[in-house]
Amino acid sequence: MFERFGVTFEPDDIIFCEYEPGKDFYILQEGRVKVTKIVSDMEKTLDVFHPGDIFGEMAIIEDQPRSATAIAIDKVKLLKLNKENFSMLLQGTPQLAFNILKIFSNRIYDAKRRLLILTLPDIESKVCDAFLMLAENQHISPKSTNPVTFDTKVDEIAHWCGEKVVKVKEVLGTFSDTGKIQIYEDRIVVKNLYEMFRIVRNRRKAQTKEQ
Amino acid sequence: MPGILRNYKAGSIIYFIGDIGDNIYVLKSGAVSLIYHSIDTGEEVRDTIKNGEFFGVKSALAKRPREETALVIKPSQVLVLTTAEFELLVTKSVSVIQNFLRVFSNQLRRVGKQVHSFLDDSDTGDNQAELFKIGEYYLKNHKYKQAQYVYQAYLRYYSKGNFAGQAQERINAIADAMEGKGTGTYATISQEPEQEAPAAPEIQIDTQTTETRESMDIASKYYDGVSLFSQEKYEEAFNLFKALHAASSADASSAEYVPKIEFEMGRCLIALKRYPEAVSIFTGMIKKYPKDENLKDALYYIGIAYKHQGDKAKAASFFQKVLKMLPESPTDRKAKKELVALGVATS
Repeated sequence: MFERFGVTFEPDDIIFCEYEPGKDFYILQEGRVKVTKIVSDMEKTLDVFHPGDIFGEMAIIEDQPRSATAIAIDKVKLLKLNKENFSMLLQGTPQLAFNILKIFSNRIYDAKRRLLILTLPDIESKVCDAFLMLAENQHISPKSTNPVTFDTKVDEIAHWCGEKVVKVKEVLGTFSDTGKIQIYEDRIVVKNLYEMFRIVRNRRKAQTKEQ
Repeated sequence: MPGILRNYKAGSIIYFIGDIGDNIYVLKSGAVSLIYHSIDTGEEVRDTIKNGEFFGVKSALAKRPREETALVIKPSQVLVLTTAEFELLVTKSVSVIQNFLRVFSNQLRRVGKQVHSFLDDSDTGDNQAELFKIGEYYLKNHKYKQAQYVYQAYLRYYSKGNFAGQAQERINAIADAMEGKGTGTYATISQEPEQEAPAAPEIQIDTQTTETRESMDIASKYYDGVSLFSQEKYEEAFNLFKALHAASSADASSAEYVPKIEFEMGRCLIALKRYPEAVSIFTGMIKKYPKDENLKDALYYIGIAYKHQGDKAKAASFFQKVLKMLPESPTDRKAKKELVALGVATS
């Protein structure tokens, strides 16, 4: 299989870049790969993949450009596959097919969660819900009343809200002024997540009543 | 069949929305409804499960809360599987997984579209500009190798883009910077532009969509051609391969098909008894792709073409070339047979 689909990369080589169109996905055979995104002029590592992991699989689904950059950490061996040879490959490797099924299940949940933020009617509740989503990703209860630290920045929150950075900055500014959050260079601390949870819940209730 | 059978009375709930559970269900008989609220309209939706259908799969596999409440409508018999049992069951039949993959990718695509419909006004993603900006980030931080990749990617996809001129300038500047430093790393990097930079102006791929479509098209049409050949429709097959040859030569993404297409064109020409043309196309192919997997067969067919043109000496020399070439293949036997027919002794 490696002879047909194998590709190798040296340490620090980019495998694909954020915003680059792409139609291939990869199965990591040897070495490690990191996934990064440039946020507020800083390269942030989102994840590290190990042998056996699959990445770039959204290319099978949609014609969107890459949402992050994949960079080889070590000398890396990959299988590079695309839509066309994908189904052929599945025939011989049911375990791989099953793993991809699990990844897709998770991606659907992630996408729906993101959609939930976007359907809120105003930026304030969207910002609150973005924090709630980040908390869920870290397995932190939305009912937490202790300060929670998020390794995030204004740009990233704006990204999840689907709003312009300047507007989100304004909202975060008000939140900071009223003591709801503290903004640091590399992190944001939310004082009372449960308060945000209640804001979002009430906004949603109001929305369903209107309809 | 693994798992346990469970009987439910009408009105009972198999699981509630928000529950976390690792069971996967198959409706054996009866009627079950999945009830949930649509994300965008907030309306209640009821999906009816058919007999033999799975439910609760996605939440169990993702280890996330159930997305709907499973309500029993009529007395029902349900097979309950753990995720592990489900895995064992479906990995025995890839087609079941493929069905799920199809359903899940449709869902994912639909949700993705909904997400993007919200982003259209606010987050106007100018992918071209954003890609270029990433190059700028790496350049600024002296990560030349990464910057070079990004600018080259930019030129590959947007050779006429707004930043194409700047991207090319940056690539040249990086090359100079690398030379100036003269480090070992740079020696390997500076080889890349020759192979990767889209120097040839004909390789202009405007969008990724057309590229995918075209290369997919070439792949499927190539097999159409092979199929026409096997139906002995040589003239049609040849015309199709000829058209594909023009298309794939102009498109970098389908370059791997060029030698294959040339080989098939040659085979068609032999079948059509157009021998001199066949010799010229096979010869061209061998020159351009001396390591191609069909090389040995190409030599064999040149021999056949010469044989039919009455040039026994040339035919024999090509059959002998086949026999000298490693690895051994079924073509050897055919070449041997031809040599015997020509009256040439083989060892």
